[in-house]
Parts: sequence; C-alpha cells; structure tokens
Amino acid sequence: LYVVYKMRVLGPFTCFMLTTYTKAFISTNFRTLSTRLAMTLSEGDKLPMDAVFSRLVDGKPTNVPAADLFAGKKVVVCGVPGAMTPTCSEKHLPGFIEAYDQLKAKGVDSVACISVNDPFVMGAWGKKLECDEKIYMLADGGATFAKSIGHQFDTGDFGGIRLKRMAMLVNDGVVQKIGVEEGGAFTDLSDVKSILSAL
Amino acid sequence: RTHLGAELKTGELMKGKKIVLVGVPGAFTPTCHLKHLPSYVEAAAQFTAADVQVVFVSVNDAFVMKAWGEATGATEAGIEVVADPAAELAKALGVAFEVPALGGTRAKRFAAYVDDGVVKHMVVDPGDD
Repeated sequence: LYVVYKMRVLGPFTCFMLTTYTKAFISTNFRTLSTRLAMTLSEGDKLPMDAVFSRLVDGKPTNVPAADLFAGKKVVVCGVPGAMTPTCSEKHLPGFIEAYDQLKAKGVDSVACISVNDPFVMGAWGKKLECDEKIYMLADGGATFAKSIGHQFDTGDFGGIRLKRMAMLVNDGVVQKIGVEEGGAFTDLSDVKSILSAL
Repeated sequence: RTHLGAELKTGELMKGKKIVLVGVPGAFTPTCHLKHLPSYVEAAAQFTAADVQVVFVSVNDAFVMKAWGEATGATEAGIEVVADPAAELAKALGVAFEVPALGGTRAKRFAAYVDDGVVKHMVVDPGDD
C-alpha cells in the first residue's frame, strides 16, 4: 500500500530514483560503518569464516580454511598471545591438553590452539608440549583472524599485533561461549574450566 | 633488537668484539633448524678459540628465539640467539624480504663478519632456502 501511495504521489520515475538512491546510500554507508566499527566477537555471534590458518602437516605448512575446521562441528579454541611464551606454555595451553579427553567425552569434535606465529613455530611448540597429535596448532600468521574477530592487541616491540588470550566454544560456526583476557593476563576467563562448565 | 626482554642495542653486542652474525628467515623452519644453526653449533668450539662470538638473528620474538636456542643446543654452545621482531636489523642490513607463508617480513639467509661494529664481510643467500 505504501508503495502504491508513493507511486501515486511521487510518480513512478521519482519513486524509482528515490528507492534506488536510498538503497545505495544505505548499502554504502552502512557497510563503511560496519567496517569502521569492526566487530568484537561475542557470545551468539557467527564466527567469521574467511580466515585461512596454516598448520604443519608432516612437516609441511598446510592451509586450513576456517570453514573446514568450524562448519558443522563443536570446536574448542585456546587463543594465545604467543607460542612458547611462559604463561601460554606453562599454564594456559597445558590446561587444554590435560582436559582433552574430558572435552572429547563431552562431545567436542576438535580442540585448536591459535596464535599469531608462523606454522613452523606452532608446529615446534606442539611437538615440545607433545600435543600436536591431539590439538590443531594453528598459525594466524598475519593476525588476520585476530583482527577479524576484534580481539587483537599490540605488543609493540615484542612482536607486533597478537591475539588476546582467550578460550572459546564454537558450535557449527556460532560462538557458544567466549572469554577474552585483557592482553596477556590469565584468569578463569580464558581457562579451559570455563569451557568445560559450558558443555 | 630484544633478547629475552632486555633491550640489546647493537652497540653493546658488537662494540670492541669480533662477531659472526648469521641471519635466518625463521626459527624452527626446516633448513634453519636442521642444517644452518646446527652447523654453527658443531663449529662452536672453533669460534670460541678464535675469540669470535657467533650471533644468530631472526625475525621472531624473544621467547621463540630463546626456545630455539635451547632446542638446538646453540645457547649451551655459547651462541647468542637473538630476536629482531620488527625486522629493524634486517631492514638496516638490506636483507628484509616478504614471506607471506611465514606471516610477513623476514630476513634473507646471510652471514656477516663484524669487527667492532663494522661489517667487514657479508654473504647473502639470494633465495629463501
């Protein structure tokens, strides 16, 4: 009825121009707006699927598109600021390694560790912690994933942009639970316990 | 450049010393890990005897370099394994190049003989292997 009213009052040509211009205005400006207000991934959000991680398979860097890992699966993610750094190595990731069997028993398909490092460093770290058979050690080399979910932070001289410490439960690409620390802190927020209690 | 979190100005590292500075594209990458650094670890005693400090540098962070030094026995052999996370040294020496597969700017494989902060001799590998 509104359309008919518009047509009758404004005339078909004006109406067409108005609609087209309005649509164009909205799609341009709202797209720019949404890019500027880059999303910060929260519970209930869909995980951005354009990231491509890198992972060592038989010693060779292999691309792992996010969709391959997350689509249709229940995935637990341990996000860390840096492979081989003290807290990550001694406390954070080990918690997930220890809880691996429990997580699988609760229906989790995969457990992944993501960090802004290269795949060789991630592979070596996985070997060192003896978890590379169980846990997907994923390299987010250019911090693309970290930035796409809005949980990156700048470590400056240490190593540039890194992923904040976090723990996340993703069900078929939708974030069921997420806990993100400020920078490198390690609290219950990013502990595997918070994930176990959500399962 | 940072080494174990402490700022190591090149001045301190190189002043009045004879250094063999070796750059690699990445800690833990195959050639660097299996051939390049190990060859220096084996020859470490010869360098010590000649009063030359061997320094390995890569565009990685300080913790990764520390772990690499330990994993390869380099640190134990007296080799300094240091980090150049922002590729400052790599750029200063003109050996920086982009390696998308590793996530950004890295240093080409090179070896330089540095005496009291002055590069006396330098060899750079053309490729990234």
